[in-house]
Amino acid sequence: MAQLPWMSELLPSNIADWDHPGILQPSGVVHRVGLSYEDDYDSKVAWSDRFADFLALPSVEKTTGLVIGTWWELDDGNGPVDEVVESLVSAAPQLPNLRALFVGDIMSEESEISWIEQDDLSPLLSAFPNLQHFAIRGANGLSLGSCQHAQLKTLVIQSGGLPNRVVQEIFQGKLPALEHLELWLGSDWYGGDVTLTNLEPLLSGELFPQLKVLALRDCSFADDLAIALSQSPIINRIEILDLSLGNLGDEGAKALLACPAIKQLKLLDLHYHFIDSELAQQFKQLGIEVDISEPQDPTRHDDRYIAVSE
Amino acid sequence: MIVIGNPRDRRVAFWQAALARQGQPPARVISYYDLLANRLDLASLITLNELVRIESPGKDEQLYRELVRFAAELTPEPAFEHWPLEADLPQEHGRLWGSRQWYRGYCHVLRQLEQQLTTLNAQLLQHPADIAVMFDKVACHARLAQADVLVPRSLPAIGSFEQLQMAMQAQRWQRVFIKLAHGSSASGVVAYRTNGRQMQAITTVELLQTSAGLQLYNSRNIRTYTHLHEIQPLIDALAQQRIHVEEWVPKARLAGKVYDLRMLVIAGKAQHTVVRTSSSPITNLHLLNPRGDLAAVQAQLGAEFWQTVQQQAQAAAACFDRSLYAGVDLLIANSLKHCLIGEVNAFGDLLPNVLVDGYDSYEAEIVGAGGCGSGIGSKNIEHRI
Repeated sequence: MAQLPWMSELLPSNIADWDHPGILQPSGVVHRVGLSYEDDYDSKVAWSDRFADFLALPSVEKTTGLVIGTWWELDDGNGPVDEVVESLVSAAPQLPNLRALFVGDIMSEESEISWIEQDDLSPLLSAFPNLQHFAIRGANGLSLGSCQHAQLKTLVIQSGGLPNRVVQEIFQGKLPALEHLELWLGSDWYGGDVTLTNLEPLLSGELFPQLKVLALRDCSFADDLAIALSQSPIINRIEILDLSLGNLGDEGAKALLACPAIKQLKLLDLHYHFIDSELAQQFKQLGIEVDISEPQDPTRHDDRYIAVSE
Repeated sequence: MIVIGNPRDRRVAFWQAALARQGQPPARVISYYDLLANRLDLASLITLNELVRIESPGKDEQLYRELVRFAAELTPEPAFEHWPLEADLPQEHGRLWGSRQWYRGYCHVLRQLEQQLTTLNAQLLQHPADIAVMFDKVACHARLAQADVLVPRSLPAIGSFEQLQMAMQAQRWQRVFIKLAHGSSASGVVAYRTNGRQMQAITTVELLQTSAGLQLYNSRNIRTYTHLHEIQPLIDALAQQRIHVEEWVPKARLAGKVYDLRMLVIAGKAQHTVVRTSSSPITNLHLLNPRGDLAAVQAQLGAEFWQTVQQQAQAAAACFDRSLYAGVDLLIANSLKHCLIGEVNAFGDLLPNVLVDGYDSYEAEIVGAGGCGSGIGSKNIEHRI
């Protein structure tokens, strides 16, 4: 995966599990607060209790980044996120410097992405007015309400299937500072019902005047999306385009290659794709940084499929 | 020195090369094929007190069929599939079949070896009875648990998907690992979970519907099945070959991937260690999964816990105290506080390019057996026989 600038605060290599009840690690380390394996069934804890211990640590008010891991006991099945939202909202006064928040850094090993139960997370946007980077994994039951935030620069939603309802909340909301929008569109099998038409307000360039990074990943109509993007106004004012993890094939690739604005990008990320190898070579002659790794073999499956569809 | 093995398998050549690097004469090789054909007089081949290494039968489908056939005349076990002598045994490459019967055949060979080698007072690097338990994940798990070695919690014998569902509900479990009781590497492994509404089986097994019925194949591509009409026949078919089911412990992760550890314990000491990483829950696809960064794992776990991990591996190997070495698979739970034993592998010592004190795994075993000067001394392992 090409390294995207926003991730600097939530890079996987910077994230470390908070070693309950240990002290905070030096700045630069983002703590992940989550429940993990217990060999003793009697030692079960609630996520909110674990988080309360975290909040009681000395210097916790200096925290700039926070990652929320599994909030349920794995044996019990995926639990609701309300507890997390309520705890975070009440903790807002204790975390005045929080700039980066990731709700649901839960690996496939711990839960399937499409089984993660989210909810209305808009109270978090209201509670943390200084937040700049907000990432979410899992779109089941997810809502962002009226989706308003004056400072937010980055919004990432990773999902196995993103409901159009959430996409429209984002489009109709107010995120004037947004520079990076990353949406994993996913599969209709897991509730991803976004169509190309639904993305029109974004492609027309009317939204998010500050947008520099557009990542529409894990898309099951990646060819049509690439064709539409290459003819859209938005392509002329972004610096990074990320269409990775989708089912991009030759048609979409040709449209991108023929689009003059592509040569103005700083980075084009197409990794995990179904593009013919000779055609893929042509991207290396664009004169910009391109990630075209992880070619998939379209003959291996009856139907090309996207990376995260389970 | 004698190696009982499969002359076609690279392991035998690796062992001979390790002997040569240690300045030892080559071992004489006794082939499983000849053992099975019963055309050998071991007493004339093995000298008194000679060192004997029993090697893996290797990835040889012909030999696999021979071992299955060897058990064809044993009393059929009603719970498991049985291939009688007159059956046409499957020839398809990669087909997953007859695992239980293969094991019974192999145990038969091991028992015969044990009797004959005991009479000859041979010095065994691994005891046949230990190998038999290590190749039975149910018995191995029980032995470790008995010795208070931390293992994942397990379910009682499961004969079908229906039984699996009932047992999981009774325990209120939502995630389990299902393994062929007698499988090796990632063959026949399924990570299964359900949330009551959806189900998912992540596996190395490919299901193939044929005119002759359902067939299973080992695949290097991890597959995910999400429908009852696939998962039920998959588990039912595996259960026919005997399965071991235990809780799916969420594994530790590093740099965005999960990992587990293979640690070779030689003469009671944890030595060659490999970090196996994966983006899927199945980490032991040794052919495709990249090796992880051991130093990074040690840094993540800290010196004190790393010592515990090594002690755990040693405690697991100590459950097989008549064997010089064992390849122990260790799961580090995502708590980074618990280290559980996944498996103990009789032939888990093939770890090319991993050196400890300048020795690769086979060389370290030769040294551990007391090799020095002319011929390998048997002093260090006398008590093991």
